[in-house]
Amino acid sequence: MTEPGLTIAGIGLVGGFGLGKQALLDALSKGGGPNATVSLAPWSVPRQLPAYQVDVSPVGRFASAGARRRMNRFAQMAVLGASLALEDAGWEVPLRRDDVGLVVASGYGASKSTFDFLDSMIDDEGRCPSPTLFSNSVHSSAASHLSIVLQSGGPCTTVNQFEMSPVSALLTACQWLREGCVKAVLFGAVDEMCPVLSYCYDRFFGAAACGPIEPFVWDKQTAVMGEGAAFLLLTRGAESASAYGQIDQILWTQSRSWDAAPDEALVLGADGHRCCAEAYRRLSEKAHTRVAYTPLYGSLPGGQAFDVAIAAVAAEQGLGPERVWSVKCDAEGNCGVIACRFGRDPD
Amino acid sequence: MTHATGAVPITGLGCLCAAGGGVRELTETLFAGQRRVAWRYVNGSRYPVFQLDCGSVPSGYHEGPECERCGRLAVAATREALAEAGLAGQRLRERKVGVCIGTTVGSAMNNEAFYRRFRQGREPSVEPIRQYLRANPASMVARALGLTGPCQTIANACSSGSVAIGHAAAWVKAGVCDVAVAGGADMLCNVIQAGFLSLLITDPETCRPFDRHRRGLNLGEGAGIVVLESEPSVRRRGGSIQAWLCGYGNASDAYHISAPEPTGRGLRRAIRQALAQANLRAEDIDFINAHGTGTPENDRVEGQVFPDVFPRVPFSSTKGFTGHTLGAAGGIEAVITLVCLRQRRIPANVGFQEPDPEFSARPVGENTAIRAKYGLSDSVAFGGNNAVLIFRGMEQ
Repeated sequence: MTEPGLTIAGIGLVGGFGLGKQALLDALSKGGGPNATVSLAPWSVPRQLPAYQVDVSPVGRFASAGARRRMNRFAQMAVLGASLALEDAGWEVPLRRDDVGLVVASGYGASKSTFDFLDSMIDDEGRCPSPTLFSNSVHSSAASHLSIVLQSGGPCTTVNQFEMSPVSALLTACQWLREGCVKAVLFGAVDEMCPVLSYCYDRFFGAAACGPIEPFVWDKQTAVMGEGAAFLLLTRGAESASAYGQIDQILWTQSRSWDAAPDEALVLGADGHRCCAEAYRRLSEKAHTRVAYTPLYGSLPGGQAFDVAIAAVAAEQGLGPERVWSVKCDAEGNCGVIACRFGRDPD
Repeated sequence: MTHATGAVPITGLGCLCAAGGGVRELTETLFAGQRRVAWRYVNGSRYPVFQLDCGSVPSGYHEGPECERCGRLAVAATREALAEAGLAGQRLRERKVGVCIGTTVGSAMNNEAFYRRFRQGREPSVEPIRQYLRANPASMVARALGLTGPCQTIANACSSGSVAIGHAAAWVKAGVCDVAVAGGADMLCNVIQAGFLSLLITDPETCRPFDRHRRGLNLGEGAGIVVLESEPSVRRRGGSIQAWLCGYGNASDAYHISAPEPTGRGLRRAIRQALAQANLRAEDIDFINAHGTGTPENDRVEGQVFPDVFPRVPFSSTKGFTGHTLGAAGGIEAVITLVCLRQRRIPANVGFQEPDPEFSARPVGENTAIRAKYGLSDSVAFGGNNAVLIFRGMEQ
């Protein structure tokens, strides 16, 4: 367990609900839900799946046409989320600083570019696959593009731990700030959908992949694919007028052995995957207050970053509790806990 | 910029790669100057690769799912490192042990056979995807050894292994865990080979780091793991400290998605950070294990930075023994740096014959005795990610 005392100075969100805080608040008030349908591969039974899909076209606000042309959708989502977080905190984009760290969590990485590269490799029997697609297919490509677009020369890392990616990455963000090697960290999660993921949802879950997500229905698979980016600008002190509050604890533990205090509010990462339902059910039964924001953004490995960001925005607007424990469980029994206190002057 | 100080004890090393199926064999191979090159044929052309000797591969390596190979390499190297540290059974279970593993292939969902069937509309079984979801290298290590501390798989391309060690050291210093196993693991893979061929940075001959006629890298596979442990934990169990990790730096070029920034801006910053964290000056460094991939651009950057920052400090690239093991390189080279501190000598930079007139740096051409107090290992990765580790040996 760490006791970091990190200030959340800015928040940037892009998801199926739209772009930024206002879009999120609209979704919060209306209930949210999938905003798109994706077609399964044409050779499959003609069928469509609902999904939470991102419109990346606003990335032009933050990246030049040249930079946009070089980035895939995965990197564009990351640039959008990170730039919105900086803007929210009143910081300039690009940063042009060497004392800000970048920590990116991603479960599946640049999956679309990965399979596009395989297409280019298979199409001409491996004689001349695309070097551009290869460069953009590596897991760290979003973080690399982010450092280029933001002109950020500080430390930069990409964490891949599936559902535990955000809590694991946040441990590192915390250590960087604690050691003083950076003044701030842009921490976030990004995941994208691709045709192979749609196919897998269909094969793994069949009709259950049509949702809607029912986070507190424990015996039923209801996950709906999502994609997007959620970024937090983290500092050690209140460096921004828009500070939302603090992250007090970051804990990697086992879901069978962790319990919140009975009077705490839990933000559960329950996203309709039945394989994790038992862990959430156990926690939920003991919780004083429980909420799940997954129906707003869908099911994706980086979901816990969305949960913390949405809880902060909700608290700022008086729509959620000021002290929450964000909890994410995976199918291997791991449990990531992020304790937050919101409000401008948390005591 | 200020840094917390405080070196972290290293209590065990583990490594397997083309140069050896364990630290002892690796040491012998390095100082005997042996290169164990194999050849792979791609589209009718043959390319050298550095693959594990069949006697070195972990059990199930070839028989099990391909996506598990990185994890199996990491598990095997971790077992060796923990055995040297004297951490097993009850001693291991009573400690909070974190796992931090760098990789590239181990994070990639790029199963070629599955995808070929998918493209052809043959509705492939999703079993390879299920296997991929269970093959995260850090999770595989934690599962295999029953470790319950934090897990982190770093995917920072070729600096992943170094970055993993840097992150794990921070966990130990902050008390997030008592012990952390950290390093890198990567395997040979057709898709990655095709990627490097597409970038035209693969040498059709054995690689020649820092040589005037170098043409690129040779891919390799393997894993290198160190055991980082808090001093109280070592003392409590009467363990033995092998060396110390005393400095870590990580900085971005913010320049290009694949090419390094030509003046080494990010590498210089990472070096400054590592020296500051170790509270050392550049002249305190006794030797450098260079990234030295053998690509024209990479070696040119290090070839300019080393004489500027570390004039007269001997350096050597060991890619000529291991190949470029990508996400494992930082872990394997951390182990090699620690071996050099033990041996008080560094191996010849095999493959180097003729100096490059574009820079003044010259790697050592033969096994070279060193003072062996402080050794530095650097990684210069795809996407402009630079990482530097500084180790301190034990007084002898």
